Amino acid sequence: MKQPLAQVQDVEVRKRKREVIISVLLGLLFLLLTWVEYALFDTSRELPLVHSIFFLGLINFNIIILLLLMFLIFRNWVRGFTEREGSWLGSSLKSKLIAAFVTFSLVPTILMFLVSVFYINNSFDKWFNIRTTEVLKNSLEVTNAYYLSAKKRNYHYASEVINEIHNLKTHEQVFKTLTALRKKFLLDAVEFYPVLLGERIVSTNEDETFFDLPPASLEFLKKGIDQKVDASTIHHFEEGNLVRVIVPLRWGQKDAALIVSSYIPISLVSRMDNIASAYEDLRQVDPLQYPIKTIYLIILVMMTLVILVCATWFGIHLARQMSIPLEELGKATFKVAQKEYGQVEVTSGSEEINHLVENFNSMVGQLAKSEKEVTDANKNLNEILVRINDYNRYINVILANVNTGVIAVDQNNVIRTINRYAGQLLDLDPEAHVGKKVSDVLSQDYLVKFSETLNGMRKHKATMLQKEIQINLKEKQLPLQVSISLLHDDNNMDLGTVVVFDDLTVVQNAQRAAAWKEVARRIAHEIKNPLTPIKLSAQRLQKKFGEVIHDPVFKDCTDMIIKEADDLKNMVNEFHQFSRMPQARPVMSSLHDVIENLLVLYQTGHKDIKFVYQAASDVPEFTFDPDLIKRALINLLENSIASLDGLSLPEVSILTQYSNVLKIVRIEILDNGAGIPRNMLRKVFEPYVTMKEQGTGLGLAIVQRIIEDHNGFVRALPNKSQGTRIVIELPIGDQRKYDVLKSSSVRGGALA
Amino acid sequence: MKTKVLIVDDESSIRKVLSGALSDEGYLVEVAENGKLALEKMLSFQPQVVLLDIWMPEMDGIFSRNLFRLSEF
Repeated sequence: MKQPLAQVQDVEVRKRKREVIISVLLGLLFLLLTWVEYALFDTSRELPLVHSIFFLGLINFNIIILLLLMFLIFRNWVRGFTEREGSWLGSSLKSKLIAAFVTFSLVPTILMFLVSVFYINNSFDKWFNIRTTEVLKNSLEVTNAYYLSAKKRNYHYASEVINEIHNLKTHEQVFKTLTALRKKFLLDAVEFYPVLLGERIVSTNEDETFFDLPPASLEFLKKGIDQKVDASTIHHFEEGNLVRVIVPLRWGQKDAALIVSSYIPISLVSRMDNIASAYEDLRQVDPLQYPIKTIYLIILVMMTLVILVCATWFGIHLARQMSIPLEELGKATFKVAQKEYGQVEVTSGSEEINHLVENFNSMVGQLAKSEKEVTDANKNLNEILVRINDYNRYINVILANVNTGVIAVDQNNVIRTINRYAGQLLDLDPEAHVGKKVSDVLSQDYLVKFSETLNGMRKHKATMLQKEIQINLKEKQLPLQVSISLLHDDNNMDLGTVVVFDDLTVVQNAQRAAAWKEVARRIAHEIKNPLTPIKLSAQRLQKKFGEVIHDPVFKDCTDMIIKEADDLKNMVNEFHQFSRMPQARPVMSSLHDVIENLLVLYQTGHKDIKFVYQAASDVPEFTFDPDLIKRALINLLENSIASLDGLSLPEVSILTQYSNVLKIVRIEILDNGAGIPRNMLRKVFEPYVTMKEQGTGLGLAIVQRIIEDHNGFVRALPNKSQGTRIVIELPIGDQRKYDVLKSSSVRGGALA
Repeated sequence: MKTKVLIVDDESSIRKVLSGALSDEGYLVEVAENGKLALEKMLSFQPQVVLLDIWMPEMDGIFSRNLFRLSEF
């Protein structure tokens, strides 16, 4: 809080300083202007000092006010212009307001000014031209009448004086009479001129104030003496005027003249003169130069300028008062638009604007608050989204890695999900089928079955159905444990179907194997037990009666019994072997050696059959039980050889392949023999399924056991042209997972 | 004195054939069809040789043999 206070004080001090400087400058300007005007204009010097100061002061005031006005207008114009560059809200409003105020004050003031000037001019003219002229004229007439009456009186007294003096002879007599008459008639001066160029007889007022009367001019005297006419003249003196009349008379035999003068004092005369001269002045002088009028005009201009300055200043002030908060609001709004929620700190004289600013601030506060809330909510939402995303990814990972086929179909029968294992099992690309309609993917038979199943479930309001089915794929039949679930949301709306299925091949095989094992064990036991006494009995017969009975029938029969019993025993032992197959003991071995040794053996034994071995060179050594694999191969070769009976060009091929990517060794045994009927292809590996008259049906079962114990697969397929193609695939990688699976399902089944 | 042989087997045919053959050879043969009876015969008959089938109901051969050993025959 300290800093703003200090700033405010600082601003205040600067303002003071500025005001002082402005005052000093104004004072200097005032003095300078006065001096300049005094020096420049002569007229001012002619005027009295007090007048000139007043006059000049007024003019200076005008000039200063005018300058002030210009400064105000110019400054605001410049400011408005520069601010408009920034184009803040309110700058144009400000200029408009100022312009409006200036215009509204300027127009009427100027009108008033013009009217006033016109009126002043008019009234001055009227006043001085008509009234004053009349007054002056009247005054002049009065003056003239006064002069006339003075003349008449003088004439009258002159004739009176002449009557008294024309009989007198001597100058002394005349002087005495003149003096007496002058006193009698209250005349100011009486002169008697006996001759034109001679001494005069004068009698003047003895009053001290009265001055020495100068003699009449010769011209004036000539009028009286020579021309013998009455004449009058007015003498102007400093103190007053002298009205003189001359009257001719005969004195003795000569022409003489009498002059009677009456004095009019200055107080009367000069004022009359002034009136006359003023009148003359009025008529001649330019009315504008008339000081009073000029002063009036100057005062008028001053008033006008004061009004203008006040109006302009008020306009500017008002505009700023309105526009500065508006500007601040505008800036703040701009900031708010840029998500910067600042408060506006403006106080204005106007209550409404303060209210507006207050409301704006509270609005901005609320905006900032809600913005924060929205941001928080967004953040939360994002977190939730991330969590959902993670969860989805987690679910997807589980779906992809679970060894159960999962296919989800939505309510519009569009496939939504096919997981990796489902793709593997059904031998299809999940990506290619997701998004397709079920009806586009399934064949007619399966589609009918599928929709029937679903309808049945819906009808019975079952949400889940478990079923074992066999489906036909391109090359094999696949037993599946299928569970179909109808999905519903909380409002019992159909969300689609999830089909979950497991491959039952392994389980089924294990179940079959277990079942057969049990059978084998029982049969072995049941058959083997009586075989021993049969064989023993036959041998006892031979021993006891062989030397007695020489009929060959006896020996043949007992031999036959013993041989068949032995054969039976072998067969039972084979069963036994199958049921108690030794566990594979894998060691690092060469598959190539195993096959080669075997083929050498077979080629020597079967010279009529062509054995072909196509070995892949890249098959590495890997861990397997060579004895068991050898046995499996023997079983397969025996089968092949058995099927070759009666062929002209019997041929058996063994070929190996290795896939480095899948880490799988593939062994194929092909013959061109009788082949296996298509419907038997899958079943030949089941125990006791045989196509040979004397077969046990265990050879291929044992093969399958061995290959499964090596985590591999064996399949029987038709050869291209004729015969059989057996495909064995052995993984060479680490398949411990499979081992665990196998031991828990197959071995578990075996023990059951 | 003839050598005494005890044949223990649950199969009657085996018992018959064996006892016949051994009798032919001049042995004194007794039979028992299970371990329990064999134990009784062991006490009463006191054979020098016992032919014991391993697979038998009631008491199998192994069990019986262990039992015989235990009885200090």
